Amino acid sequence: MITMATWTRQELETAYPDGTINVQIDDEVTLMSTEEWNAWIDAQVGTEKEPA
Amino acid sequence: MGFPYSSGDVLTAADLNASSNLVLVTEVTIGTSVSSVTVSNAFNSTYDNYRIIIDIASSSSDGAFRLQLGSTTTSYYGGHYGYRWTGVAYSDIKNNGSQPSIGASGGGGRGGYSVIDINDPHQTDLTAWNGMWTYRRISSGLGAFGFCGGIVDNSTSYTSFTVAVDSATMTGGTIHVYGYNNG
Repeated sequence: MITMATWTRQELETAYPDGTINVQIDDEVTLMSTEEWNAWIDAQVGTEKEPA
Repeated sequence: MGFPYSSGDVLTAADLNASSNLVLVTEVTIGTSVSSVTVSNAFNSTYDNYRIIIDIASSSSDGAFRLQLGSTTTSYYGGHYGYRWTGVAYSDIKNNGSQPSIGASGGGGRGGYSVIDINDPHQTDLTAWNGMWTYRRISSGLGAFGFCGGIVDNSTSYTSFTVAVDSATMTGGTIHVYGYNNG
């Protein structure tokens, strides 16, 4: 088994600034609100940079 | 009327229903820079079992992608197990946890591909799935293939599911949902 590096909040905020992430329901694509973006960033902190 | 049919046979609805196999339920084209895609009307009372084909054309960086049934975010058991092209094995498994992985999507415009069969998502019974996936990467020995499987331990009747990729966005590709005809 191998261990991967994980994402930090700062790295995520740099890679995915507010106003650049969408969510999609069926064929409708909607820009995340700032609140949704913050929640998304929080959820991604600690995820692996390469899937394990 | 017995299958296979012959030239000149008059087919009834019952004949056609009996000989239809996988029936397209819905399809979604993945948009641009989306972190998740929800497929609303994926499951219904017509079918017990479904095939979901997820073809992510590209993602902004490498990341596992995950399955969420309806709004359920807990009580998942399962995940994926794979082998990189280099032969190194790895896994991502949940044991009564959050949304499990069902594949991986590669950065560098490679994306990912998963074929999942899901059992009884619309029944008021435990939902189970299994499938195969390919992580379309060549560089750095990241590419991989493997299998996935799992259950969600509840009796919720689902009509929808969401695919979301870890710490990345998806652009392009499709999600197809087919129902297995019960005959």
